[in-house]
Amino acid sequence: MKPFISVNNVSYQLQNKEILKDVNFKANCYEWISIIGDNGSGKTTFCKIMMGILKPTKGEIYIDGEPLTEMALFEIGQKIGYLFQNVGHQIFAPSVEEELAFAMRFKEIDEIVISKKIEEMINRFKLQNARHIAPYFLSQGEKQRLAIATILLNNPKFLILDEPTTGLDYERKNELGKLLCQIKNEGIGIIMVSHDIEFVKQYSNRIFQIKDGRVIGEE
Amino acid sequence: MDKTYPLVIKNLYFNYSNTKTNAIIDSISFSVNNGQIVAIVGSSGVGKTTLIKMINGTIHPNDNKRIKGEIYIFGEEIKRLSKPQISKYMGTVFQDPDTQIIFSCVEDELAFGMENLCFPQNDMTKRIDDVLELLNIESLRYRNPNQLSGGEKQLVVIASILCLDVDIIILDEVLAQVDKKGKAKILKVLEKLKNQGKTIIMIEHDYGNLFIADSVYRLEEGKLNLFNFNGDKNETIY
Amino acid sequence: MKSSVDPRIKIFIALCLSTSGVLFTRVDKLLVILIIGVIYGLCFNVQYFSVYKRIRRYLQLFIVIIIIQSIFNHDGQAVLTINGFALLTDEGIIRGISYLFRIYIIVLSGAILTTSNMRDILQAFIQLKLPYDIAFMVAIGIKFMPLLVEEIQNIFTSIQLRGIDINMLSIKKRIEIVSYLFMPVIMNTLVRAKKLAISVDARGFRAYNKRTSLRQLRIKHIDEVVFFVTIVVFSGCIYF
Repeated sequence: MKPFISVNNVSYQLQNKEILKDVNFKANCYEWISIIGDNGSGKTTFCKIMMGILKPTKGEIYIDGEPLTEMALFEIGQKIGYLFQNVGHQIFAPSVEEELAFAMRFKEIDEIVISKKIEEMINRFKLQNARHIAPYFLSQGEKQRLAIATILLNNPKFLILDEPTTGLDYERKNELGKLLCQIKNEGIGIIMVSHDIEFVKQYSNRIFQIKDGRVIGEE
Repeated sequence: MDKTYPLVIKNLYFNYSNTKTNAIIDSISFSVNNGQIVAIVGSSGVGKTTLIKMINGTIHPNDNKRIKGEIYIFGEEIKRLSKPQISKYMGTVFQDPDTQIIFSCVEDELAFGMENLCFPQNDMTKRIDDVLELLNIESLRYRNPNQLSGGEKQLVVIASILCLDVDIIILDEVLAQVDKKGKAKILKVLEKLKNQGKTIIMIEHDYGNLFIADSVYRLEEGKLNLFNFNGDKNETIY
Repeated sequence: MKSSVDPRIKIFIALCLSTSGVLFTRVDKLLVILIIGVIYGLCFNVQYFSVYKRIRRYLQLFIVIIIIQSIFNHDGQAVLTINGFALLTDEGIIRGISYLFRIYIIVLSGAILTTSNMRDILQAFIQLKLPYDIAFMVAIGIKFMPLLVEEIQNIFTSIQLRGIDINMLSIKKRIEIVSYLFMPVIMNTLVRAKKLAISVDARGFRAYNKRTSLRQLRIKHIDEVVFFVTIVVFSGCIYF
């Protein structure tokens, strides 16, 4: 199976400091890969490079066979969904319903289709009690579920999650784990970056580590 | 009231609104002694941070008539203490160090609280020396805290609280954003502080960190109950 | 000389520069003040390149300002006429350039202050008996500015990652997109501010009307020399 995400000899430098050195990494759909590493090791940087938010100083990245350099952000977003470390950076509408409708309205999709999709997502992600609430007032777990719902509306083939368990208690972590497993079983690949070793061990198919700018695997 | 107890809470009650049926803090009573580490666990949104804010005076009975019951800090009722007076007895460290660190030099960060409370210059220098030595972070004295790792940043915040010579340290999920190395360092420091007679109250989500606590309480539906935690740091409860 | 000059002297220089920039109207005087400012900047090791990088995106705006100033000023000889209407005059262009010099002088004054660290500037305020609270608030604002910028960038990125091609949107829709930035930025900023307030409160901030300091600033010979030179230079500018 051709890898969906292919990172070849990628390096990234910032202010004369080499954050990532000659990274080679491949990821396929139907699998959950976790990348662990200490604070400041470059985990978020690596996520942003795979998402095309940061440009590597060296090397190439291919998404579904296409070079990342030839893709605009809106195109990348349709192939890979990204959950920011701070979920507050990706929710901005006045209510949960409007948040789900946001992108669809800008793409001028039919209102009937939009309503149907909103209902689907609200039911799937258990946001029934929150539909008219402003996202900022939701709990951390609800905000995350909402963010994942908005990402999945794009039908991406992959998800990249940056420290998704921060701020979640045991129950919510388990809920998140089960949800992501379900998503993975539907064929969507997952790359999760985390320092929560327990959660990583519980759910990942493969585990890599970022150390001294290199991605070492498999633990 | 036994003045030797750093913290005594009696029948504490608090409801955010008169219309809500369930109070977030519903007649809680407990006390903590010197040299003890007490952990409080509970689901997200259950009221752990609210409880902390009531203990450290952020939600103060003089500003909020919905608070009932009493909190005593070394025998003094919290109603009689202003926020600056409370900050001489206890300090709080929160989850995100980036919203607590202000200056670009660790030494300045440590001095900030003491300057606010008008400590004399010589005392400040001595306290900074002592605290850096206690936490084993002398090498960080002139570093920029914004460039340190998460664990080191939290140690700097803890140090800035300790410089105020507080006896009670409250930690609100301080280990959440810290990696394994940083956690180990911080937990070691907490043991040291406990042995020095400090009182530590920590809110935790990760049961793997509870092994250092002398007692663990669970906050649920406004009530605080002793939690039967068997002490195995690898055990996942639920 | 660099950054070992007392921050109180730098505050004085910044004040002289910015006041001259505002009060002088002649373009030749403004040019002189600008050159003086650049020299001070070089002495204090202002990072001109990073200042340039930050104001680079506004350069087009500055040119527009010059043109607008010129359009609304009809003194002097016409330089560009359209259908008999004098669009640009020589006086107008000079006014516009003066305006531009003023902006650069004020930016330079700010840049000179950034060559001292925030704590030292605050200490200068304390020893000059200026309001500490205001200085502290401004310092915090400056500290959190880069975080705010990063947040706006992140939100904008995440909007695009939802599959929205901004370049294909009409102007009206683009404005609508920008309006979606306000709420999360305001909410996140408020949350951050509240957390910071609780943290500084817990460390006795504004507990008393006065405060002590770990370090005191002391005037050195170099500071006296710089102060004297500054008085002479700016007196000369006023007189001539």
